[in-house]
Amino acid sequence: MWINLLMAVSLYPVLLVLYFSVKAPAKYENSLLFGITMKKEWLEEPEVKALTEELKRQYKKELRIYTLICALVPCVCFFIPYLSIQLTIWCMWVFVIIVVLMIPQIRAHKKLMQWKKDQGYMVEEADNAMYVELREAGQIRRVKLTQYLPSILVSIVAVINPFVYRMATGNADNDPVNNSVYYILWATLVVTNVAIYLVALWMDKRKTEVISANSDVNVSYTRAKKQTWNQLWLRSSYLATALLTVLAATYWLGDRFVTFMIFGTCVYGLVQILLIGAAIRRKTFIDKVYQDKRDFEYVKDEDKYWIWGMFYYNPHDTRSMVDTRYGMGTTVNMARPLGKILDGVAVASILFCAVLFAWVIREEFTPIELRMADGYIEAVHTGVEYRIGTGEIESVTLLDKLPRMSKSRGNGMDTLLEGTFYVRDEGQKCEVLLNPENSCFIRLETTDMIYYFGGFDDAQTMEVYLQVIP
Amino acid sequence: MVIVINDTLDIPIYQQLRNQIVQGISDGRLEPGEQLPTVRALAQEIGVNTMTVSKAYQMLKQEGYIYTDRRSGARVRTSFHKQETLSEENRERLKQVISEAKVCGMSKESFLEECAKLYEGGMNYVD
Repeated sequence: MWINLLMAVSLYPVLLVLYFSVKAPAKYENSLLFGITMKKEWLEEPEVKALTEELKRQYKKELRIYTLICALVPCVCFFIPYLSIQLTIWCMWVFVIIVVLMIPQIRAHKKLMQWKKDQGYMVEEADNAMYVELREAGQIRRVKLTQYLPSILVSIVAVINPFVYRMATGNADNDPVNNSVYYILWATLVVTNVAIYLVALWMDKRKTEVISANSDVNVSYTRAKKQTWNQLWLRSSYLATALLTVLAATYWLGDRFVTFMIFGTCVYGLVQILLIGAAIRRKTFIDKVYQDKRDFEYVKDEDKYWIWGMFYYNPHDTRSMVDTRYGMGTTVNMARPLGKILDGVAVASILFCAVLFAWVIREEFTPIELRMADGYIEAVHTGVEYRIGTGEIESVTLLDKLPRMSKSRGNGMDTLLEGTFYVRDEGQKCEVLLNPENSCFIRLETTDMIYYFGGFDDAQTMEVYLQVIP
Repeated sequence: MVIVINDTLDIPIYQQLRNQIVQGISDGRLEPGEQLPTVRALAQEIGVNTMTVSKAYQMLKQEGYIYTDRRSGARVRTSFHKQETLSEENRERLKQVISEAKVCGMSKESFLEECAKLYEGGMNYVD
């Protein structure tokens, strides 16, 4: 239940952000409507006005319906008892809503494109003229390394946390948390921090936007937008560092680390979405303020190179990244090598997620087996996970209740505990493979490890126990 | 000042850049003594090689429109050499324009009217 609530709190804001983002194409801005270049004078004709008003009405209606359906779908997770299925639905839902909310835009785009073709307004060869603001060219910069450096340095320094713990406690053998998990998180957040800075730097180098023949307007508009972007990246960087700092601190709490990690990551995601929302709002405000100052009449028709107004494919354009047609952000030029690589990475990521979810489902639905074979106790899940000779066993105890334990490494689902767990009553880490919903478990102690096992059901566990006891 | 660069035209980019800076000086969009962007900054802004911008600036410097120094970079000149005749090169260009206008059937009066409009569109020479 709490997983579903956590996922709902973390992921529903994504749907909200997407909903407000995809409303943008329905507004006539920068000579674009539904990703199609439309001259102002066309829209003033009564027939065209009626057509576009109908398209907008239909678009908004479809968007509301699709958003509502998307919002309801994850509710099924509250009725599904299996954690792997819940997680799969939640994560795949994010990919699905991105695609589904594109459908109204694609439909409106196609209808308007057809109208444009029927009228003979399609431009075969896009004009390659580029407007460049000479005043302060290449000098409007908002990103400074000194702003980002403290955040990056603090995140890098967090690598020493496990060493500090060992020095402080004098305990070199029993780390409170699986260090590989900590280092993976550390590396991910450091890479994120560095990537944020590089992206901020790259975006800061974009050319001045030309919206007016007045250079003062162009310069101040660009300055305001770059400041908005820099604020977003800077806050994101410090947010990542804050998460890493919290994780480093909770490392010392040992068994609560995983809880804080999950909770902290969800809060991080939520706050990140809020930051993006604030940046979009700020950008919209800036555009509104400068709307009256726009006096640049030039309309560059590049419809030919935009697929559905969303994906850019132009082999004649040397740029790898271009501004999106509406909203804020950039998109890749799919005709360039970088675009092809990024598309490949995106597809590979989706496929990787699919494989990962298949693995998680397999983990949950593969039954556990506990058996005796040739003088060995074998605890089997997707393979022979543990094999202990009866001669190694110092003591064996039958339990009807599990002690409190927290995961250090492995799986912790409602019907499967597998891996290394810190057991409070033992004061040490133990190896575990059992279904916690059963009522019967075996505690095995050898010279160097304590094991907690359970079979497919209580009967299987009891059968093995009776064979093991001296 | 806003300039237009089109890489599909037959005119090289450095020439387009040079021409538009001269137009900017002539119609006052670029003021006397005004700082121009550095070669590197302008090349990055346009998305061309620095050699292209450097060539444009060199032409402008040789023709006397701008001056450069190590500290302040390139600036528009505050005064220009005053001559009341066209250079030979510009005379030849004008001949070409006149020829094409005549072939198109433009009358002398229309042509001169057009020239007057373009000439008076904000040009200020500084003594």
